[in-house]
Amino acid sequence: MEQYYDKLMECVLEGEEEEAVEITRAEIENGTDPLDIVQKCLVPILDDVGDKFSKLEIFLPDLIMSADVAKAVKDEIRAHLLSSSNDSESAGKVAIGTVQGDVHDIGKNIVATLLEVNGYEVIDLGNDVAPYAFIETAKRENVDIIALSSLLTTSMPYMVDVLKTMEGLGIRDQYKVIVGGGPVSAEWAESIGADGYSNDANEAVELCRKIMAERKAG
Amino acid sequence: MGELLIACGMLRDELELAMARTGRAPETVWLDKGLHDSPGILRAAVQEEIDRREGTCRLILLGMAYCGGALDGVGSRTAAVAVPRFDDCVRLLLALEPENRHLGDSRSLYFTRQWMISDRYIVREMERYRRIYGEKKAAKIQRAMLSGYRWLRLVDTGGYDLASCEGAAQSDAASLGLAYSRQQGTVRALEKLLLHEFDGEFCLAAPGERITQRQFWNI
Repeated sequence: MEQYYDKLMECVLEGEEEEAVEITRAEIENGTDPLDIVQKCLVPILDDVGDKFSKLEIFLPDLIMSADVAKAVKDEIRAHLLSSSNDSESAGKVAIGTVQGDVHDIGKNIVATLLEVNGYEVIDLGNDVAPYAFIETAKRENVDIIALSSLLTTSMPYMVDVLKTMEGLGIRDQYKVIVGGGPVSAEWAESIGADGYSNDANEAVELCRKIMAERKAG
Repeated sequence: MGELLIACGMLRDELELAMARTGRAPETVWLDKGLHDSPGILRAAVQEEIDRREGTCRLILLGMAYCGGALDGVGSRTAAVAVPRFDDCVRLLLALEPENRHLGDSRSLYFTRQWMISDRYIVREMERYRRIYGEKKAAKIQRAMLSGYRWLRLVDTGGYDLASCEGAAQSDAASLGLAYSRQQGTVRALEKLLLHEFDGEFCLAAPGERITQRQFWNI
């Protein structure tokens, strides 16, 4: 698997989607457990890519391509898991979207991909999502976490609208609400009463892990 | 002790127009246009200029907008600081205050001449990506970056010759797969900044105070 890891890392960094899918398919056909590929290769590779981005060793276009490769590999693995009826337990269910008035979704898409790779069921509502659409989805799909993204200070108040609407409906404590995005800060998250904030995609996964552990314990 | 204007180069045409109209032309420090890509870097650059002028002026005018929180925490120990209370320079030029968050078209990319001649202009960025990553990957990056947008709108601020930019803007819109239109803009807030007409459209920090997010949101 060491050889596969190195090759996959190269594909992720170079944005070679088709090659990544091919080598993953071959690795599974050679007998490697698809879940091992996720846990021992894909997750650590994406952690590494996130680190490189935060250290300015790679840039936004690289990150976009890396996420596309990760998504393609994850889809390939999921197809194998489904065909072998190998049910793995969901780590949690997350409804994610960019809030109303904002069409920036690159960061949100990367968080969604990383969550999926880490075993979460993700319902991606897209961008420019109205407050009620988050709530409706959360109720219909019985999600654990609502994840709100915003890249503009103009759209940040719509995060408040989501929380206030939930309070108005008396369902605020049924779901955990986490926030993130360029201008969003931990201070902002606390001031609006969100349950958590993350600075990047890796932190978002860690935050969801923590929230799910608390939910399961509670 | 007089006043100092620290301004983003992206607003140069518009500030120069406002200076001509108001007859006010304070000493000006122009900041690099690309700084607003990273709020933390812009904040550090603004604060560095403020600190450099400590004790030399009584009023510092910031010719820029809040820019994704870039001005959060900025302040001077010896001078008052004033900044227009708008989310970003586009909303400043369209006169859309934070309270009007529902106005403005989130599916539009707005530009002025200064944007178009900057290194970070989207068309130039895409050309760079094609050179670095090749056509196929660059096309994918462009799709990811522009998927939410429908329009490229050139803002007519009066600060530059619109006609000389319009041909290029139309062709750029077509190359990005976006529709093109003009949008009327204004330099009213910049004129008020230069005239010290500090009403609700401004955040003010007295000497020793800082611009805060709370002040910006008016909460």
